Amino acid sequence: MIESEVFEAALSKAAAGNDPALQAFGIERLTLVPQSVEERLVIEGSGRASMSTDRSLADLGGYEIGEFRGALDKKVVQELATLVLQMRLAKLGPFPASPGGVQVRISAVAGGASQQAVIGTADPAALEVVRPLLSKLDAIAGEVHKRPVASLALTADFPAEGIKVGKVSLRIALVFRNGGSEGVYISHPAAASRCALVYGFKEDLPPDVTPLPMELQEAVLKPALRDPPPYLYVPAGNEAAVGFEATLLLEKPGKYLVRASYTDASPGSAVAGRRKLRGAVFSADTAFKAS
Amino acid sequence: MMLATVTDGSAPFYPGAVNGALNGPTKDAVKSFQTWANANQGASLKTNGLPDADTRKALITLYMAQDETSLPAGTEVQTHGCGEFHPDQPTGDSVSEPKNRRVEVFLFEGGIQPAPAKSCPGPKGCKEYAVWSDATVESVDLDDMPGTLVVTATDDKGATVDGADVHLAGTVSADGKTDGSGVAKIDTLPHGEYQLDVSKAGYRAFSGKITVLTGANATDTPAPVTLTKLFVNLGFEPAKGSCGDKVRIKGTTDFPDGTEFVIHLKPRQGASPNLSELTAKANGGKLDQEVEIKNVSFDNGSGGFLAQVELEATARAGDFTSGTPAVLQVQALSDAPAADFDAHRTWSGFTNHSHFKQRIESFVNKVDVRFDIIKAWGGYWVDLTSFGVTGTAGGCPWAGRRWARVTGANDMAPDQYYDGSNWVAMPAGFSYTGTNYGAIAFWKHGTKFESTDGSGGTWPGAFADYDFNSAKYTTVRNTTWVNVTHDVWSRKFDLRRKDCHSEPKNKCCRYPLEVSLAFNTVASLVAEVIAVCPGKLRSNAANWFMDEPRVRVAAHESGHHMDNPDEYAGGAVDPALNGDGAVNGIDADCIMGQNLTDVKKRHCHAFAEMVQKLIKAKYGRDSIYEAVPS
Repeated sequence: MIESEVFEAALSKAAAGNDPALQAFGIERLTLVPQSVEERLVIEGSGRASMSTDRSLADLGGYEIGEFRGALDKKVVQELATLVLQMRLAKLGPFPASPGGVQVRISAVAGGASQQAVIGTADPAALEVVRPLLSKLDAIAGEVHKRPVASLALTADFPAEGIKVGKVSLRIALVFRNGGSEGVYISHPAAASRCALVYGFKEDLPPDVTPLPMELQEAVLKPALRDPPPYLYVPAGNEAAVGFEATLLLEKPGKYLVRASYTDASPGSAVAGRRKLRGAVFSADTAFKAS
Repeated sequence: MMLATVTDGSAPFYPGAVNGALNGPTKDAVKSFQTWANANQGASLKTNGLPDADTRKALITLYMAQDETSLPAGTEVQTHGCGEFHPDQPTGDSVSEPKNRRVEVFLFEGGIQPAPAKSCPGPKGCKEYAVWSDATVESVDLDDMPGTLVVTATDDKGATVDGADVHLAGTVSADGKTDGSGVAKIDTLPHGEYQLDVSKAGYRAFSGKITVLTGANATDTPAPVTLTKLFVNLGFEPAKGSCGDKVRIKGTTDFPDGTEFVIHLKPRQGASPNLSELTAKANGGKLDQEVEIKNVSFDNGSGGFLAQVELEATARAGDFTSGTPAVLQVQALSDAPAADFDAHRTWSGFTNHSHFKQRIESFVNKVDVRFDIIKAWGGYWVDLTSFGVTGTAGGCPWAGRRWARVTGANDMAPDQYYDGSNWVAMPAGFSYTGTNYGAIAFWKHGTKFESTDGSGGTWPGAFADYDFNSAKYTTVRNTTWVNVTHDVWSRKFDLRRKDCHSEPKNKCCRYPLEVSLAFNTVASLVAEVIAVCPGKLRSNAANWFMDEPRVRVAAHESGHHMDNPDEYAGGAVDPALNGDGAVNGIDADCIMGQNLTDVKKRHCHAFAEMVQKLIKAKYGRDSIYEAVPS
């Protein structure tokens, strides 16, 4: 029996609810953007699902990075096995991809045989054939992401009132929240220019006119803490705030948007055996008016 | 002999051949000496021409003051009388035999060994004498005046040969060198037959036997020697070529087999400082050596290039240098007019139109890549099927998907989608995954904004306008993208004629690569047009975003124009590509790979084809070229 036949036979059993076949079944979705994002979703036949991510694919404000874990019903796993069987991973594609763009690699194992598909995302029409599986995986990822083990998200406590046009210095606090059940260390935000603040004037346009991408400027962020230690501990289910002073140049009155970021690409996932998170997190846009 | 040696300051007292006779000339010499010694040495000699005791004492004193006439100070001298029992010519008693009335002087190194007995032991003679005689390495008969050999070297045309080495081997060995008259004199030679060797580079050596004349009446021994001049005649076959060609340097010579010549190459035009010497060996009266033309510099010294350089070849062996040089004409393949590369490829099911122009200009391989671009705007599609959205609406051509846009500060995350009637906030809980949203470009066609991907999509409403030709965006396109593309592709590899081994610094058979990128803005959407948009959405092959930090996208896409497939999974891959980092067409770390890094050798294959084509068209030379690191 050739490998694909072994794979499909085992998948069929798993899809039908055969426990030994389900136990041996697994699927992984790896989403990659070179030198930027690595998000991994792993679903085991037992229903155990785990996810790790170091950056939101869309640099989404408030998005949690870190480790996440969930448990799926047997029925959901069976549905996944069915979809994998229907998709016939090894025969999918080609999917147009972009250099340095988003790439999704889906691999599955069943009965000791495995198959993989690389899914480029440049052509939405080409995704149609695999959309049922992708949608299912998206939904599972969304659920698993709600259950952090150790995570990091960023909010910016920005004074949005009483800001005048011109060169203004403002005190802001970047708040790092860990929504998980385990505390984490991160490289200290006040060191090595890991934090940035961008802001821009928001044009007031009619609703049917799509605005151009905002022209953003970067503000100088000066840490309130001198000589910070190398790491910051963010307790489980808690948060840690780091103060900065930001200098903004506001050239005209009106509405502005501001967002902060923290980026750490330093190597290592542990400090003295304790979990250390790295990656990039962003705050949601904060609007303010300058008068 | 002493009178022939001692001088009055200018000439010896006895000028003629020494004969040992007290005859008229000898008496004249003695008288001259007596007169001179009285006047100059404070002597009081009788001036009668007779060698009396005072005269001999004065003469011996002066003679012994000459160099090489006396033993070194401290030399032990012993006398031992025993001649009666060691006759040179055995005779009976009381027979007068002059040869038996002799004095033998033995000169020892390191003392007398064995020492003589205190007195002669009697009729059997002394046993040490036989030991001394047996150990003798050279005997000089002082009655036999040494001779002088006069070597005169001429060539086969009678011209004197100076600087020839003369070596004499026989009773003694001696060396000399002929002077400007072709003469070498070697004197103080004991009688005997000698082996005479005379040689000079570039001449056939003389070797022969000669007997040196000695004795009181002997004249100098003449040794006329003829040294036949050797020759090398060189030529190139063929006498014309270009760098990388193999030619033969051939010659005739009468140098002996095995003679190694250094072939020296000298340019008649320009400098060519890296030309190297060659070697060739004489064999059967011929020279025949294959030579690769290399390291010729066509630099004319003033920023331009010579059309050809003539190389002169001369052969050297020792001091010999061949006469009229052989001449090789080396043609510069320095310029060729532009031609088009045009090919349609299919890789992994994706088509690619490879097209660029290439020319050779002053030994530089210039590649021009041009993109047609159109002013465009970026939007998003989002897949909302998970949120119950079905069918199409608002101009988005794909079921379950809708157009989306950014109104906030984050270009990467659309925050509104068009529900068919209005722009509304993205559904709560929408997660941005790799496959449920993506960027798409629109161009303005009349009053509508149409998608550039050929899907037929139209944008609801309008995009805010912008100045495509503003300084900001012109700088991005014409400076940043152009410069980055140039820097990524240029001067990393040269196209070198295969089997040409010229050093990289020589403008000879290597053509450094220079890639220029240019944009042509078009007003209407046509095939292969790149949509260029503001913002920093993620660029892809068809849509480039001018604020995106990944500035190597243009360099990557230029690589496609230059006939290279993608080298990342999901791209337009050629699985047959292997080696040099590529495995089944995949190599993340290169400009065609996922990480958009460096150019690899394989990426230059189209340039190599084009150089071959251009050189053939211009010069008729059909050679293979290959990419080598610059």
